[in-house]
Amino acid sequence: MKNYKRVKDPIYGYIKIPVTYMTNIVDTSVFQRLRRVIQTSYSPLYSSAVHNRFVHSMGVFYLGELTVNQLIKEVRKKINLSMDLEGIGELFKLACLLHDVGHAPFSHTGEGFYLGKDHNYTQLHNKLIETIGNENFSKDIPQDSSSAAAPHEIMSAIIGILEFGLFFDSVDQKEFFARCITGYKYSEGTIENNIKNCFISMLNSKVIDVDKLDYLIRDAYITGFDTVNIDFERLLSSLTISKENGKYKIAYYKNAISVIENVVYAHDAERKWIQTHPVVLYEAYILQHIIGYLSEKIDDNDKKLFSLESLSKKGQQFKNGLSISLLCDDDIIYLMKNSFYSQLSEEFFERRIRRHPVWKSEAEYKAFVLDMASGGSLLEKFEQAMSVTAKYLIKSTDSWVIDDSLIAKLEKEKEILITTDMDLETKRVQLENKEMILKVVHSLESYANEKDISCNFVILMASQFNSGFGKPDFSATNIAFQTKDGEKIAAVGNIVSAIEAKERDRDNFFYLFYKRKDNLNIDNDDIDNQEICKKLFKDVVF
Amino acid sequence: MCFYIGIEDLAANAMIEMLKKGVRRFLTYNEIEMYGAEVVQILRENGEKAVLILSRENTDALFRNYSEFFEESEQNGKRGIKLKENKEVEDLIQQFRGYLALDVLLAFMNQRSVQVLGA
Repeated sequence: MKNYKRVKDPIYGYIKIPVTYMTNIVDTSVFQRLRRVIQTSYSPLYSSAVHNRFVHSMGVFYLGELTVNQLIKEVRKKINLSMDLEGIGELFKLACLLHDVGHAPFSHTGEGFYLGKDHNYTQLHNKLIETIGNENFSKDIPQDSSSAAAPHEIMSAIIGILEFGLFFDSVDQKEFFARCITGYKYSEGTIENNIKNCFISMLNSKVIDVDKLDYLIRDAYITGFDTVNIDFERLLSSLTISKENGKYKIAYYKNAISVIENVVYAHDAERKWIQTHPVVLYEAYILQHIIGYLSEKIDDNDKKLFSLESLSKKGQQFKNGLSISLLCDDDIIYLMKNSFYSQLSEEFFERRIRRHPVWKSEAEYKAFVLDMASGGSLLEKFEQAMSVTAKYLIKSTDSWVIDDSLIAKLEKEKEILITTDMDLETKRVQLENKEMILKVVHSLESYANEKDISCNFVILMASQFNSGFGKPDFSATNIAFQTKDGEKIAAVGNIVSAIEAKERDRDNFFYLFYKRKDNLNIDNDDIDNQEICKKLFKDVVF
Repeated sequence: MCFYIGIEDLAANAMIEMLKKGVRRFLTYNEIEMYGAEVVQILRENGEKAVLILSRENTDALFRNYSEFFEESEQNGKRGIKLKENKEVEDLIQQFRGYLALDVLLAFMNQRSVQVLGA
C-alpha cells in the first residue's frame, strides 16, 4: 500500500501528501472549504487569478517539506542535540498544511469580523488557550492587541487542533503547532525552544517564510504577471542557522543571495503593480463594506456570521431561518445576491457600474500633473489635501463617498469646530485641514455639475494593503559565508542593495474614483481624465 | 455610523495629550489600548459606534509608514511606542489631528480618556 498520494501542482510538479493527511485532513469538508475561499482580490485586474486557499495550502506544505529536510540537516550538523527533530518537523509540516484552515471568506477582507466586540482579541485568544489545554502557553500570548497575530491565524490554529486532534499526542505538540501558525514564539530560552523558534519563523515571520514564498510564486504564475523567477529550491537548500547574541536564528548560505534579491524584487513588484492597483483596491473596498453590512444584518447577540461555529460542518442557525455552515465565498455571494441585496452588491456583480479610477498608476498621475507642478511645494500641498481627504473618508463607514451629504456634514463640522473649546494648535490644524478637504470636495462637486455627472467620488489610499513583509527585519537576516576556520556571518541589509528600496513611498499614494454616467455605451468618454486632474489641482492649490 | 480607529491615531493622539502635560515620550501598548477603549466608550455614549483596528500587522505598518515619528521601545520590561527625539507635539498635531472627524477628535481630547494615561 502506498504511503503517499501525489497531487499535481502547476508550479512544483507532484506534491507528495501522506495518505493519512489526504484521508483525514485534505478530503474533509473543513479543509475542502478552502477550495471556495479565493486567495486574492486580483481577479478584476487579472482574470485568471481565481486560485484559492486550498491550492496555496498544498503549496505551503510542499515548501514546508523542503524546509524541514534542510533545517534538520543543518541543526544536526551544527548542534549536538537529543531533541526529536523529526517529530518537530512533522508538526511544522502539519501547520503548513493547515495554516489557512480558518481563513475567512474573501481572504483578508472579512477576517476582522472574527474578533469580539470592539475588535478585541480576548475571546479568540482564550479559545486558543482552552483548545490547547495549556495555561502556560498564555504567558507568550501578547496581552496587547497591537502585537496579536492576524485573526485568521488564531482561528486556523484553533480549528486545526479541534478538527484534526488525532494528529496530536500531547499538549506540547498542540502548543508548537499553534505557535507555528500564529508566530507566537517561545520566550523561555532553552536551546530546544530556540530551535523550535527557528521553525516557527519559517512559517510566520516578517521575513521570508514558506507562506509568503508560495504566494509570491503562485500569484505571479497564475496572474501571468511578468516578474523575476524565484528559485525556491536554491533558496531553501541554502537554509541554515547561525548564532547571534547566544541564540540561534534562521540564516542562509551565500548561494541564496541572488534568490533573496529576487524575493525582495518580486514582493515590491507585486505590491506596486497588483496589490495597490486601483482596480484591486476598489474590489477589496466594496467587499469590505458588503461584509460589514452583512455582519450587521445577520449577527444576532452572541451569534456571529464570522465565527468558529459558522466555519464548522455543523454550522449554526440565525434568525429568519438562515443557516450557515462551512462559511465560504459562496455563502457571502448568496447572501449579498439573494437575502441582503444592496447598491454595493449591484456594483459587485454589475462591474460596468463600478466607479472608475481617474488615473491607474502613479506614472499616469504624474503625467497628468507634471505640466502644472514638477514637484516642490505646490505638488506637496495638493498631495497633502488629497491624502487628508482620503484619510477622513476611510475612517468612517458612512462618509466614504464624496457626495452632497458629505459636503453638508463637513460644513457642519467646520461650523461646530469654530465654537468648540480646544488648544489653539489643534484647532488651527483641524480648520486648515477641513478647509483643504472642503476645497477637494467642492472642486469635485463643481466638476460633476459642469460635466453633468453625479457628484459621487471615492478616494482610496494605497496603504490600505498590508503585506506583512518587514524590510528592517529582513535586513537583519544573516548570510553565512563559509571560511577556512568556520563561517563569516553578515546581515542581508549590509550586503544586498535591493533591500534599500523604501517601502513606504507607494503606500502614501492615493487614487480618485468617479461614477460614470448611466447607460454609457462608449468607451471612457464621459470625462477627460487630465482635465479633472488639472481642475482639482488648480482649485486645491491656488 | 462606525468610526475605524487605527493604532497610528491612538498612539499619536495619546502621545499628544501626554506631551501637552510635559509628561513623557513613551507609552506602553497596554496604555494605548486602554486609552482607545475609553475613546470608544465615550463615542458610544454619544451615540456613535467605533472599533479599534489593532493587530501585529497594523503595528508593523505603523512603524513602516511613520518611521520618522515612532520607534518600538521597551521600558521596565514593557513594550510600547516611543516618539523619536526630533519630533515634538506640534509635529504630531500637524500629522495626526487634521484629518480626524470632529467627534473622534473630541473623544481623543476628553478628560476621561486622558486620565486613563495617568496624566
